[in-house]
Amino acid sequence: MSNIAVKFENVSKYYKLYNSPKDRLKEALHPFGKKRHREFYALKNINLEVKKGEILGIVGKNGSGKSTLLKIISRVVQPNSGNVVVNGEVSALLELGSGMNPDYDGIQNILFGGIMMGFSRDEMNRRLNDIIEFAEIGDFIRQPLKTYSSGMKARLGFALAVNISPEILVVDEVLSVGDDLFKRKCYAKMEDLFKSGCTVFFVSHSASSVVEICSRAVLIDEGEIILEGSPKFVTMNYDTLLFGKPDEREKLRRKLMNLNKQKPEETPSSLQPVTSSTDSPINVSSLLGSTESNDNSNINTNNTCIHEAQYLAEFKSKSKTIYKSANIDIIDIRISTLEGKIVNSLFPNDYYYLNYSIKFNDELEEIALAHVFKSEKGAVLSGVRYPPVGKNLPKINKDSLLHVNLKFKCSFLPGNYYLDIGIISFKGGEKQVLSAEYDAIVFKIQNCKCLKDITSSWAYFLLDHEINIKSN
Amino acid sequence: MKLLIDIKNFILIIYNHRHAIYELTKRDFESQYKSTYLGMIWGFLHPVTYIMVVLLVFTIGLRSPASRNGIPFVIFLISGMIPWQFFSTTLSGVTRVINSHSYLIKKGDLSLAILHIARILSNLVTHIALVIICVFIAWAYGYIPGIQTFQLIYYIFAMSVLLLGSGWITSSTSLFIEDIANLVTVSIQFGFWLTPIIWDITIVPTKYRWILKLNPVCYIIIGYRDSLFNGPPFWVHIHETLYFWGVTMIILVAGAVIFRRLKPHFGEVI
Repeated sequence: MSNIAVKFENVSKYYKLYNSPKDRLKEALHPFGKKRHREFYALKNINLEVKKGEILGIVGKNGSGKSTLLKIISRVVQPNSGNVVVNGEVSALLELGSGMNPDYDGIQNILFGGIMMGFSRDEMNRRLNDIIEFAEIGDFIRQPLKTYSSGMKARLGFALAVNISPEILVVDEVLSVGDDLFKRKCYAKMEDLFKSGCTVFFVSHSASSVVEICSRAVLIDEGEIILEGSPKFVTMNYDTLLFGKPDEREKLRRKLMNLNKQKPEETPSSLQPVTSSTDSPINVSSLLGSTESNDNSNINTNNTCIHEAQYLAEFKSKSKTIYKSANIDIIDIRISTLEGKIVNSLFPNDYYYLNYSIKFNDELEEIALAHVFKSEKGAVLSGVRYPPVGKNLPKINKDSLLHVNLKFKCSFLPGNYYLDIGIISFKGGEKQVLSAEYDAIVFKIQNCKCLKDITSSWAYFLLDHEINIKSN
Repeated sequence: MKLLIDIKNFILIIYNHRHAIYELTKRDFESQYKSTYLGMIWGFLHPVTYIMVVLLVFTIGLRSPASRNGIPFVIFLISGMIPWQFFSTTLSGVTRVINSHSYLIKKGDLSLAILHIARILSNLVTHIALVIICVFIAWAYGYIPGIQTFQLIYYIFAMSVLLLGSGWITSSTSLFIEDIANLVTVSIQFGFWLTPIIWDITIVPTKYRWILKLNPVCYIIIGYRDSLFNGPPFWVHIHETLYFWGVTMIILVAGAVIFRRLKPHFGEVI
């Protein structure tokens, strides 16, 4: 009993949806009237047990029930059925500026918020400086909250929520508006809290931060917990579900749920958040029933990094732009493993092929091919030109087809990356883009255990490194 | 027995949240006058102008007699209007108190029942000041304050308990049925004329007076006048006192039950 922070037993929560406010009144006043609402189940039969000192990551699509779960923990809404046990003082950060009065300034909000949670004024005055220091919003601390930017609200809210020594901290996706520096600080603070025995519930859409800070994770979909396990295991499968083909989602979902049932009891790795050694790399590709057949020979062997790149059908470049000044088509762009399996979810340190074909509908000469790798935000990371600078391709005849195969070592850190492909003419010494596909293809780099010594989760490149320390 | 435990728990909640109640009261009071140049003066200006208008209408416009039941009309009116003003503004204030603190709902499990207490307390600040002024005006008219004046404390307390219970009911139900808030506004309008504020209860034939006395505010207004103008102490009206506390307790208990039942659902409608 004592080491359980939160326990959910068969908890369901539905919201009553009315077609019009009139219906709500009719139903409320008419004791024997017919049911006039539809029930929308936000949570269905949730069973969850969280021990003290865990950081539980909660992932799931928008509208899957994550926020409702957090609201139940913080007692903002009540479940319709089932049992909820919450042991400890809850400090919740459910929405931007929640629990704060827009007319008060930062300091008043801090004092008032703390006092409403049962602290005395003296106690809050003592903590005030820590909170202001943590929030780092400068002179705005003396301005009314309504003048704050969303980032400032998140800073103030988080600073208050963590500095009143909560036993259970509930953080909804509010940190995403904070800048990276502040996020880092928040994650560090959460780790501090959890070391002191605080339980943290953390909702995030950023798989890398869940992997980084959580000790366990659950995947919620359509109001049900469909997967529970180590953060990496869960976020990886979340990706497959999120980007899976719509008609295969149901199948995928069932497979994940079965997987969840079969999964042997995991010993909650409560004291090792990042390096949970019980990580059992499961073969994700076997879940993706309809993707190309592949050999399932990669059975888990101890701690070596075995991973298999996958193809996420729904994960496609939505910003693809085609530019053409000559009659050239770039077709069939794809990334594949060395074995030839088409993939778009890759792993660092592995080799892959980029393949595509160029169809020339006109005769051309003095041209070169350019490939540019970009970050999600468009920063150019690397480029490959063929042939090398100073040379150009020989004359190309009309109606010829060129197949390009670029082998590259994937030295990128987890994140999404885009690729531009262009065909450039140097005829007459003048550079001219003949045809280009911007954001032609997108690929994702998965997180991996071999990245444990990478310090920044917002970096792009994987250094081929080796570190040794000597003492005299 | 269960009721006793509940009462004990509620007193504990008030004690544990005394800092919060103090802070809420202070802020509530400040926020009413913040960002105005005259500040707290508005708290007095508002009832004073209202009383002046009514006074002018009745004495000059309608030429009503200069005294009621032997009491000069000016202080007769003031002694009725001041408690009524407190009652009506506080009742409409507590009805909206959850709405105006809706940002607290998302904060989690807070004792929202104390919001009503804070609102009543903050309105009491101006009210008590007005009552003291009222005592001096009555003195100027020859009603020397004595031991009976201290009954005002009892009547203020009685009215506050009535307001707390009514506030719990109206504030929680109006979240679900917004019409309740309008109903409160309309009742206050009617209440002003149905309560012996500008007229004295003695103008009603004795056999019909009990109907008027069903209104618990009537007990308060008569009580204020008794305290100010050397009337009988409250235990003389034993039936009225018992009736008032009976009604008030029913409202208070019903308010506590309704509020507690509905509170879990606040998060869904706000």
